[in-house]
Amino acid sequence: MGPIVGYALLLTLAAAVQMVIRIVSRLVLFGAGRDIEYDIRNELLAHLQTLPPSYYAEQSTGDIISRASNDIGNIRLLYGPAVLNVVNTGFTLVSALVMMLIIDVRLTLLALLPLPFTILVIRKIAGTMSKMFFEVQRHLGVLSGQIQEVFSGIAVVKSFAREDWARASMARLNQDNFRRNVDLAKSRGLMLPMMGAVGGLGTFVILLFGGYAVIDGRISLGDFVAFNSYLAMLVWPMLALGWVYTMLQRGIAAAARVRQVLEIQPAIQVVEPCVQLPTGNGAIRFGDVRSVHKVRDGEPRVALDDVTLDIPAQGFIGLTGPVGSGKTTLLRLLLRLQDFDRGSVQIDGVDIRHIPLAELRGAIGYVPQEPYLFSASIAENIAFGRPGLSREDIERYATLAGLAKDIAWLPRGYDTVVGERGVTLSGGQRQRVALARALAREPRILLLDDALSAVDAETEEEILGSLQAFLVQRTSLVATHRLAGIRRAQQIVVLDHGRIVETGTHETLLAARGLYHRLCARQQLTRQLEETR
Amino acid sequence: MAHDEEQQGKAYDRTLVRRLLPYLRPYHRAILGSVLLVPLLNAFQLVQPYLVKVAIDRHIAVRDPDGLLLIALAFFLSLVFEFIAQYGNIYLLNYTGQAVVRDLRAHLFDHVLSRSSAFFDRSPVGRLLTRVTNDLEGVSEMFASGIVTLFADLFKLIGITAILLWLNWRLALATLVVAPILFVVVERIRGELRNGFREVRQRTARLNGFLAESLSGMDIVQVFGQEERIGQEYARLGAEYRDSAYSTIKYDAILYAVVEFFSSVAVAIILWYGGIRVIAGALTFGELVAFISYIRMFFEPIRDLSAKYATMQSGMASLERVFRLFDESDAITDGGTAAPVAAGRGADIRYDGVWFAYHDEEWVLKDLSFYAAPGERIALVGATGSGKSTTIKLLSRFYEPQRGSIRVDGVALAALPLQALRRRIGVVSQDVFLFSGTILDNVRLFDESIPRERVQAACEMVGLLPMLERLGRGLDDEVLERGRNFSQGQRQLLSFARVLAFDPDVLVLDEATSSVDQETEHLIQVALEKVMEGRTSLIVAHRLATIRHCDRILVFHHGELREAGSHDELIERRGLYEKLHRLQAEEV
Repeated sequence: MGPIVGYALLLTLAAAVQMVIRIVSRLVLFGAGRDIEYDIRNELLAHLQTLPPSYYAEQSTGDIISRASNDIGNIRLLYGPAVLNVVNTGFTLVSALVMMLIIDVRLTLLALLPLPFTILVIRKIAGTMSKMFFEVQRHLGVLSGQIQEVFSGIAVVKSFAREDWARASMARLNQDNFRRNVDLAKSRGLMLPMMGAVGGLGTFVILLFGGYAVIDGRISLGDFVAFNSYLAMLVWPMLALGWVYTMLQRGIAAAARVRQVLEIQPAIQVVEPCVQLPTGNGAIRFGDVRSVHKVRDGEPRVALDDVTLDIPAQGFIGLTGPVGSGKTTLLRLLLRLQDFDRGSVQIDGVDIRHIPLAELRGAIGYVPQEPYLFSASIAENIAFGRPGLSREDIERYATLAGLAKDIAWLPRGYDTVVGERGVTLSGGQRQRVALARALAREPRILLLDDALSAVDAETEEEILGSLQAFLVQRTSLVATHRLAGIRRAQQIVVLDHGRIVETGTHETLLAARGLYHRLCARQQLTRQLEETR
Repeated sequence: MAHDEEQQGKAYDRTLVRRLLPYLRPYHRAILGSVLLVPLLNAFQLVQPYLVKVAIDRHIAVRDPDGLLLIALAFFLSLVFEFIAQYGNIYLLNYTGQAVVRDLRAHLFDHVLSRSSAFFDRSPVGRLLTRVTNDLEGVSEMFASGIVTLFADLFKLIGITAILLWLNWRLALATLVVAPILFVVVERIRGELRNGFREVRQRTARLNGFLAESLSGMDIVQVFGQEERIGQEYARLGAEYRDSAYSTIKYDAILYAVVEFFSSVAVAIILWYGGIRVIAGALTFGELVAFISYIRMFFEPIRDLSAKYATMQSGMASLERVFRLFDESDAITDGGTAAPVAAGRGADIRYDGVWFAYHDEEWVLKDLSFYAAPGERIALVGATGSGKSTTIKLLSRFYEPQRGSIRVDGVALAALPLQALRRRIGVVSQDVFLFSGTILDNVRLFDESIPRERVQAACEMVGLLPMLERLGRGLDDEVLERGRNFSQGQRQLLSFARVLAFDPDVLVLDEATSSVDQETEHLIQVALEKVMEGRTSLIVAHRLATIRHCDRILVFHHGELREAGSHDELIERRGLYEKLHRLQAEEV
């Protein structure tokens, strides 16, 4: 009776030690999985931030988010639980096997007989499963993309009462997603019973052959029971193995999807040798520039061609031309948001391809056609390019951009949080926030891309007036459809179909009687019509 | 950034499950099937140790080979049936889970779709997206491995307890003495795990919301060189998320380890107490072996409980937020039953004492009243923020006025079916949103009842044809996500064609011409004349060329309607309009 109490106590003691080890190992390994997830996530964003707009034009944000959350989550499971289980399973497997072999080699081999067969079957199932899983994940990305698009374009969907379409298209993808998942479940569901069967079949073999072995007196009853126990110890690791296998498949598929993104070379990179941007006042030179717009499954389009242009430092240059004539491309080339295929672009004598991107963009203030504001206060949005800017400075730039009066109307003033896409502000107000944001960078070069199109004439007049002093010390390129805004420009560049068709001052261009003249004439005609009415 | 979803209400598991029930109902057959399989599965599993016991006691221990083969065969059969029952159970559960998630997703999507504009103003798309995708994936996981399996495990526990008591009630009671302690521990950790997983999910949503926003504004981030700062903020949110995950790991590890410990203690008790009784002859050897097998089986589900609970809790946490989104009730009520007016051309519109504010009492519109006769063309002018855009948004019932009424053809807006109302109004907004798809899809907004020819004609009317020809594939040219491969002007033109294709009674134009160049605007002015023909038109404009087409001009100032009349009348009055006009005229 004594030894039995001793064994029981020993077992309890061992269990206590095991408990501590279990807690620690889980904390360490699962914690590491979380750390890895954190690192990959940050790495992914860092990489995404190096990719140019052309990438985002082709890739849906919903799909990227699905990679950054679902897929990275699956990679994490690969590192934490999967590693723990592999180690755990491996260790239990080896020690149980050794003990079984010590008891009876023949019996051990018999017990493990179903194993190779099961492994073969599982490998086959797993192969199909991983393919299906990859498809399911990819498809979830498509579904997310569709949903995101509908939610982002909700105003259009509602205006045109197209909810039925939104529902139908979503329902189709949703049903597809369901079907794929059920198909996946058909093979995935086999794993657990399959792994359980391995242990069960082993017990069956032991019961039969082990039983006869005891009856024949080859092994003792104690050995028989111990053998059975070791086999039972194998069952759980086997089950875990099935689970790990699923995780492994998912993790590998997920890792492939994340790697796909990480392996995309940023299309826009600094060309060696790297050159610092010299001090200067923003002289710009375009030399025979050609830029081709490449579109996925579409004919490439020439956005700019034969563009040669000298812009003196501290110049005020107007850019005009019909829709799609290349004004925006010209501005975005300077920022290297887009690259050119031929020719060169220089700022203060240095080819912009040699200037580190941060430095190049730091010298340029840019106000895009469609202002994007972040879900933050107006003050934070204005100080976006210069975090830590004082409130006085923020207010000064807002005043310069003709925004101060509008902000005075807001209940929380500069602390008013603007919606995800600045929805609570009017188009004109958003444009002026974007202008203030660009001015706050105190740039060497200011690019305005139809930046005041949603602002009414009265306000535009005010803004342009108050900007004069600011613009004097800088080079500015103003692309616009409103000719009045650039009438005073030192040089007006008229683009058409990606080529410069005319350059000159307002007066010389009028005298040339070309496209600019026609555009002006039309404006004048409109005015005359109004006046005669 | 506002985190309005942080204040967690007290929607408890039971409420959540009750709300889930209607989604389960259509699949009651599959659920019933899997439920019926559970006792079968358990029976096949539980019979196995008993068969081993019989084999030991009746054959192996007494060295009687007769009948051992039969017992082994019975054991094998129980394995086969176990396999079938388990596979069936898993399949049915997965099927149900996926079906429920599909239905929930469709319903949730529909719910979001029918919210008011105010809802979309304050809900970032990223967060909504997380609800409809990730959160629901969590729910499906819960089905695959959680809910019903937990219930199955309970079955198993009861079965094992019964068998143990039947085999030897003294030993059974001695062994199960650890159970109450265990339940106390599990109960304590349960709450912590639930809170932990809830936090994890919330922080996931915040992380993804931030990512969505950063990706949408990526060119601005790059131009302003803020990659590092955005990266840091993302890392900070990621660290918050990770830290809350750490706490779930901690409790998960404790739960798992403690259960394992008690399992071993139970085996120690069997060894000690059972061993003594075998020696005393009060227990057979086979019974002792069976006891240990059963007690292992007893702790197995409790040990899995930790993992399943994790999945289930995260599923419940997801479900909680999904239902919370369902609870956001600010829809524009669509109880309108008034018969839509026969599609006669034009409608009359009457605004009567309308007051409106986006927030509280910051009135954007103050006591606005005006009337537009069928076919009348009205221009709304005024400085930025004067309320003209808001005025037209109210017509489509994107927002509801706090006071006053708006009537179309004498019927209050709320009395009209929302879809019918909106179908009568063609809107051209400031920002043109384009969907992935072809130009054809974007013009007719995937409405295949609008024939291709009509789209073609609409494009021709707005002068888009030359541009389409230049693109190569015309109407079949692809618009990439949000039309990023189209210029602002091209998009604007497309949105005009969109309205023309839908052929509404009322035309609403919001400063749409402002960002179009002279040449394009000329095309539009020509088209506009045709488009307005026979339609009641409300046009927010600051271009006099557009205003010139209108019969009457309403001048807004600080939310009030200050002047109304024809161009000439207003010029003569020498008021606000005359001033605006003078500025405009000086432009060239």
